[in-house]
This record gives sequence, structure tokens and C-alpha cells, in this order.
Amino acid sequence: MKEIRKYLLVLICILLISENSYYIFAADNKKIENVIDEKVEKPNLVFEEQTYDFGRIYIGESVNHGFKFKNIGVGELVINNVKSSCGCTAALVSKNKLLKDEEGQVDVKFNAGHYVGKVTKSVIVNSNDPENLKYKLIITGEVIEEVSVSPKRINFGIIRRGDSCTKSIEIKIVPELKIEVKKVESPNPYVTITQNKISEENKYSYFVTINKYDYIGKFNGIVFIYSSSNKQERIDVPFSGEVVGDLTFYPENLYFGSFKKGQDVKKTIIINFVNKEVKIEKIETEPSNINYIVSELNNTGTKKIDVNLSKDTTVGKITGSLKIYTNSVIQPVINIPINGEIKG
Amino acid sequence: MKMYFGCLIIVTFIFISTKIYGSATDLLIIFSGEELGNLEPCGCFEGQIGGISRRYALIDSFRKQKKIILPVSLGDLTKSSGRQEVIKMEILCCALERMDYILHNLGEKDLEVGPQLISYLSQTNKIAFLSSNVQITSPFPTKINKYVLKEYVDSKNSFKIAFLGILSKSFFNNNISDFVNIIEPIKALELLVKQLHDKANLIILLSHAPLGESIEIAKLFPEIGLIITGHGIEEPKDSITYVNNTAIVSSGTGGKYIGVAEYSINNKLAPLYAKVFTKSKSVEIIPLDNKYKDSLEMVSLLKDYQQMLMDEDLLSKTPQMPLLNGLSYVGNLTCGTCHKLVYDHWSKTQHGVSYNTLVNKGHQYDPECIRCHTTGYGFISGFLNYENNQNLINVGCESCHGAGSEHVKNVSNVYGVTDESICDMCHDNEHSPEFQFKGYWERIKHPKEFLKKLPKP
Repeated sequence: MKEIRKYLLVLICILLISENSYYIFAADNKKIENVIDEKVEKPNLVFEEQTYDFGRIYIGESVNHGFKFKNIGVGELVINNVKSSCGCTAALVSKNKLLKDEEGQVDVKFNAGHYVGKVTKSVIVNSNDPENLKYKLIITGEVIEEVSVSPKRINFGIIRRGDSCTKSIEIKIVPELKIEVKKVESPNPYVTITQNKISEENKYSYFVTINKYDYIGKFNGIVFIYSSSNKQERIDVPFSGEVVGDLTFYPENLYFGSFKKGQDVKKTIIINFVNKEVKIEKIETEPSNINYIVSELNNTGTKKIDVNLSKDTTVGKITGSLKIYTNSVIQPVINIPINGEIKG
Repeated sequence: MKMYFGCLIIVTFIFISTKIYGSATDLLIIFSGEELGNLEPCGCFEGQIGGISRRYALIDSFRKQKKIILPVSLGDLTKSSGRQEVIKMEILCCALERMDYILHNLGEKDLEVGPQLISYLSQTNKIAFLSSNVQITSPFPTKINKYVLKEYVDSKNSFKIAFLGILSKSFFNNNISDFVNIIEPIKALELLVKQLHDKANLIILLSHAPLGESIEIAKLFPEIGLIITGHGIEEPKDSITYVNNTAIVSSGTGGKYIGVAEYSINNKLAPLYAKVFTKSKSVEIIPLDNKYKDSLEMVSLLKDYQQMLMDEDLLSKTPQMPLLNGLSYVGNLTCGTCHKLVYDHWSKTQHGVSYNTLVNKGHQYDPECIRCHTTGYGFISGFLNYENNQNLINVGCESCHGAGSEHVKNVSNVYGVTDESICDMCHDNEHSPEFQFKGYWERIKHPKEFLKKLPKP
């Protein structure tokens, strides 16, 4: 019995120390590996600089920079590839295998395009240098505009039918470039633009007014700013907004997408009443296999219409509409097209 | 005998420990954000990563492992306003819903899409819209949650996770000011963190803010266990930061990566040592590469998206800008009338068949794609749709040399001088990362022509 106890004890001790012993042996093995490693000829990739700050450039310009490197190790350096982050391209211009003390270069090009603001882009150089398998190069700087416009797009928001709405735009010019704003205009007949005289030099301000738009729904357009800048001869400032009548609805088109026959697919329309006197009088659907249920959304007065298709609807394209009749004088009927496809 | 009992105690302890740790449940916080309208890799080059289709496959693989998954969205599903962005937002919200996302934190780009859409989606989508510091004052009723508390209950215990979401004031701009009021994030968080600290085992913040601001928040609120952040972080793998025990992580931009923070929930220990639960086992940022097969459900949704673009004829509805100096496009065939040799050469290049590459992919109704596969799209007299402008399909002569109306009127005019900056308009890093002018020029370089002088009319 004593023998069995002894063996049991030994077995448990072995089990307990086995996990720790793994680390002890592993650590020893690592030491041995390191000693061997030191004898192996390793490459060593060294760049002259890791970061290049291009300072300031103007919109549309591009910057080229060569990052010089050297293999100061003993072994052959192999550059597997060079990968860049969005907005810049990079290429290895020298050969990809370099012996001891050989030099090479990675060319990086950053193209500002339409980008404006501070920028930091990175390029990863993948090599066989065990200490720098992925070497990160950074190109940083700022892209500025000769002519900067704020805001970049005008949002008129929600306007009641018949109302007007005015927003302002500011144009700033880089002082030393002596650029002039020649003209600010919009081809939209409902838009008027007037200059707001301000005392600051190299700064212009304009009021853009949307006047009594009759049309109910979303509108958009562009304000053109012409300047004497060669890089920014014309700056386009898009504008958008929505003229609302007595009620608004979403979505304007009801898409069921494509789905299998028998699948229960429900779509929802939400109707908001701007004029609280307005009521839904009746709803018609075309074809008749389009079903709907009207309910009120959390006691807000807003109506919710859940729309679905009868299960017996035949396979093929769905083309129909849902018509909402109201007591509104300006929006007596709302037509919402319905599209989709039932697959077999 | 004493030794025997000692050993018995040790064995029992090992057995109990194994049992306890063996009962741990894995919980995965799956995070994504800043899709900026990228529904799928556009297909311009091999090796593109991202897309909802691969994301679905990845999430589904976790689901099949029977792990508890909580997918959350940081914000900025789209990148600007306009009808195409609205459609994209609807499609993305539908995709998130099908992937069982529990919440979407509002980013400034989401707000720019418009109050009516936000109202609609917040009322009809199963995903909770979250923002602890954004107040929407539009006339459209909008359901925004200040926080989301999720509770998981098993046979013996329960654990709770509180999600908070903020939008940095630095992203506030004129396009969203009309209907949005943004409270200082720290002020909004002070109250809520205090309120939720005792209610939840773990507080997670979706911080739609620059990394620096999120780090400051982590310092001020050590109660927050995980901060999902990032704005413009292109390499999320390199950006994982720790402030004390709080991990600050990002899934990057463009929907290319998915972040996964893994937690081991020890049902037996959690009530006694709640903090055990709050420490994440690991955070992984996974690139959505072709290792993940496209999911059929998302492929079908993407087809619906293209169908919507076609049904609405969005191509024809895009505003057309006037060309400078009153110029207009004349089309490839007009150029080919005189420059036959060049035209024949061009028609055999990739530029000459670029429209077909879109048709083969089913993207020929997508205004975002069509711009670089046709001539003059977005300008008056440029390509508008196939029915009316078959002479302007493909990357034609005027795509590189400019609109040719004046040249046609007066052939002696200096026309056609161009440089490689024109190439960059389409061959950017996002769509053509391998582009090098020298090599690519060789692929399209057309033969020189010696044209006879035309008689004066």
C-alpha cells in the first residue's frame, strides 16, 4: 500500500511540475537558438529616415519622395514587397535583393487629389530582416486650398412650401497669391446670391437664398464660384434641401427586392403630418394583392403603413403602387411606386 | 497518511479549477464602422478586402461555433448626402439587421444623410440607434437610445453589458446643425457612466471621435472596459492602444476589417468577482479577404441595390456640371473619323472595353463606378446613360485629352496635350494601387499619326 502511495505522490508531482518544466526547457532551447542565430548571417535593413514631412502643398498637387535604405547586416536582404496605405503609391526603385552595404530606395508618391487637411500616410516595407519584417515609413504633411470655401456643401434643411431660406458661404484666399473671386452664380432660377460686404482682406462672404420654391420634395443644385486661381478656376458648391407641404412620407419608392414565393416580407411607409389638420381619407393599392395595415406611431400623430404581399402572389416581377388620398389641398394624392421580384 | 491527504487536496483543487474554467462562456464583441458607403469591393483589382458579404460569412462562422456574439456598429455607414447614399444607408442597415447587429452608434455622416431617413430607420429597423450625446430636434420622430443594456442569463447567473455611444463635437459641421444638438461627450458620459457602473458588469463605449479624444475619455473613465473608436484610421491593426485596463480599438475605414474582442464569461465566478469578466482575453482585427466566401444572402441584397439604382435611373439624375470655356464632348466615333489608326488601337485596349467590365459585373447603373468607365460622366454633354450616349461609353479619347468640340470646329487648334495627372483621377490608390505611369502608359500608348491637312470649308 505504501508503495502505491509513493508512486501516486510521484505521479502527481510529475504532473504538477510538467507544465513549468516545459517553460524551463523551452527557455533553455531559446538560449541555444539565440546562440545559433548569432552565428547565422542576418540582413539588417536601415532607412536614412522613417518619416518625411512634406510641409504644405496645394490641392491637386502631388509629392514624390525617395526613402533611402541600406543593408548593414551580413546576410542578403530581400525586400519582398512594398505596400502603401490609401492615397499614396509606393515602389521599390532599386533591386529587391541587396548584399551587405548595398543601398536602395523606395519611392513614395502622394497625390493630394481633392483631399484637403492634415495627412499621414504609411508605407510598409516587407523584408527578411528578422528585426524589421514590416518596416513602416510615414509621409506626412498638410494639403491646403488656394481658395477655400466653407461650407463645402449647403444644406438648406427642411423648408415649408412658399417660405424662403438663406445660408451664407465664406470664401478665403491665401493672401500672398493675390487671387480674385470673379463671379458666384447658380443656374437654379429659385436661387439668388448676394455679396455680404465684410472688412476682412482676402475673405469674401455671400448669402445664398432659396426663394419660395413651389415644388414639394427634395431639391438640389450647385453654386459655382469662379476665381482667378489656376488650380481652382471653378469651385462647385452643391446644395440640397427639402420643401415640405402638409405632409411628408418615406420612402418615396417601396422596394421589396427579390425574395422567394411564400416568404413573408413586410415594408413600412411612415407619414408625418406637418399640417395637423390633414388626415388620410383612403388608401388604394394596385394590384389588389398588395395588403396594408395603418397604425399610429407611438402616439406621435405620425402614421405607419405596413405593406406586404399576399402569399398567393405569382412568381415574377412586382410592379404596382400605393395611393394615399388626403384632405390636403396641396397634396391630395400621394403615389408610392412598388417594385420587387418573387422567385420560384 | 498526511502526505496522502495532501496529495488528495492538490488533486481536488486541480479538478475544481478545471471545472470552473471549463464552464466559461465565450462572448464576442464584434465591431465595425466607417463603411463610408463601401458595400463590397468594387472589383477594380484582385486582392481587395472588405464588403458586407464576407462580413456576413465571418460573423456566421462565429455563430456556428455557438459563441455569444454581439455585433455593434460605430457609425458613418455612408460618406455624404444624396440619393445614392440614402439607398446605401438603407441597404447597409438591412444588412446589419440580417447579421444580428444589436446597435448602431450615430456618426456625423449618418446625420448628414438627413433627418427623415434617420427617423425612418430608427423606427423601422430592429437595430437600436445609439447616441449618448446627440439630440435630434427634427420634426420627424426619432428613436435614439442614450445607452443600450444587454443582459444574458443562464441557469444560475446573469451578466450585463452597457453600451454607450458618443459623437465628437469636432465633427460637428454646418450640414447637420439644423436639427442636431451635440452635448459635450464628457459631460454626457459623466452621468451615464455613474448610472451604469453598478448596473453592468462591463461598460463598452462606441466613441465616434479621433483616437486622441478617445484616449482622454479612457483616462477620465476607468470604469469603461472597452472603447471602440477611430476616425480615419487606415491601419486598425497598428492602432490598438491600452489606457490602464481599457483597450481602445478600431476596425478602420471602408468596412475592410472587422474587430473582435473576446471575453470569457465565467458564470460561476462572475457574481463574486465581477471584474474577472470585464477583462478581455484578446482583441483581433480581421481583414475581410477572400478567405471568407461571399454569403448568398448578402449577394442577393447587393443585387437588390444594383436593381434599385437601375429602377430609379440614378445615372440620369446625377447633376451635370458645365464644362469650362463652353466646351462639349463629341464622342469616340467622331474622333475615329479622322484618327482611324488611333481609334482602332484604342478599341483593343482596356480603356476601349472598360464599359463592358462594368456590364459583366452588373455595375453599369452605378454612378460611382460609371464615372471612370465612360467619358465625361457628370458633365453637360458627357455620358448620361447607355440609351442616349453609346458614343461615350468606355474611357474614350476625351477622357484623357479633354472635350473636343472646339477641336472638331477648328482642327488647327492646339488640342490634346495631357499629362499623367489625368490618370490619377481614376487610377488612385483605392482603385488601382499597382498603378505606375510608365508601365501602364505602355499598355495604352497609341501609334503616331500623320494626318493630311483637311481642306478649309
